[in-house]
Amino acid sequence: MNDIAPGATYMFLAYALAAALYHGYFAHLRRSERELEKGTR
Amino acid sequence: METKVEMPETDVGGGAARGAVPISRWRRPLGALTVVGLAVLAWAAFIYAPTDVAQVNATSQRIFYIHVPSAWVGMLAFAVVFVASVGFLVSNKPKWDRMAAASAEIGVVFTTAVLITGPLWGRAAWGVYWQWDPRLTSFLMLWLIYLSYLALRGYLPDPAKRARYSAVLGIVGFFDIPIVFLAVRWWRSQHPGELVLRGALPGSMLAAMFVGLVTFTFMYLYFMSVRMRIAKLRDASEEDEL
Repeated sequence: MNDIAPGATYMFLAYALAAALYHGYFAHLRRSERELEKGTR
Repeated sequence: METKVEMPETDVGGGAARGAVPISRWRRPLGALTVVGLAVLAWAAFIYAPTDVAQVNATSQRIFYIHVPSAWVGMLAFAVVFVASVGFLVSNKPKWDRMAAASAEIGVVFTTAVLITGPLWGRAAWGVYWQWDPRLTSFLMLWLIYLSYLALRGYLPDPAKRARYSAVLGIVGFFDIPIVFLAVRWWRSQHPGELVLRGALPGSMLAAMFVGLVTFTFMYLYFMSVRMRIAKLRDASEEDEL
C-alpha cells in the first residue's frame, strides 16, 4: 500500500482518530444536554 | 443568574427546562453548515488538493487539512476564553463565565486533535512522533495550561471563587499563544511556519485549507451553542436544588 501512496497509513490514522475525537465530544455534549433536560423537567 | 420560567404542561417539545433554556436558533443552520462543510472538506483534502511530492511519505501531507484548522479553532477558542474572562472580571456577569468555560473545554478538544494529528504527520515526515521543538513544546504547554484551567474549575465548588480564579487563569494562559506563533521565528524550529503568509502554498492546497478553516469554525460555533445551553441548564438545575 505504501508503494502506491506513501504515508497513507498515517493519514488515515490521523483522520480516523480526529473524527473519533470530534464525534465522541459531540455525543458527550448531546448526552449531557438530554440528561439535564430530563433532570430539570 | 438565569431564572427558570414555568412552562405549561402542554409543552410537549421538551418540557419546562427546554422552555426555560431555549435552543439557539443558530444551532440547526450551524449543524447543517458543518455537515456540508465536512463533506466538501473530504473531497477537497483527498481528491481536489494535489499530493505534495516534495515531502517524504507524501500522502501524509494531507493531514495538514485537519491539523491546521484544528489549531486555528484551538487558538480562536482560547482567544474567546480571554475575552470572556476579561468580560467576567469587569462585569461580574455569569454569562461571561459560562462562555469562558464552554470555550476552554472546546479549545482543549481541538488542541487535543492537533496533538494527535501532528505527531502522526511528524512520524511520516520526520521519522519521529515527537521532538522537543520550540513550536511543539510551546503548544504542549498551551494544552496543559487549559487542561489545568478545566481541572481548576472542577476542583472549586464555590461558583463565585471558581469564576474569579478561572478568569485570572484564562487571561494569563492566553499569553502563551503569541509564544506558540512566534516560536518558529524566535528559535530554530523544524515545524513549518507561516506557509500561507509567505505564499508558499499552491492555490488548490490553499483552497482546501480554507474549506477546513471555515468548516471547523462552524463546528466550533455549533459546539459552543450546545455547550452554552448545557451550562445554562446546569445553572437552572442548581437553582432548583437551592
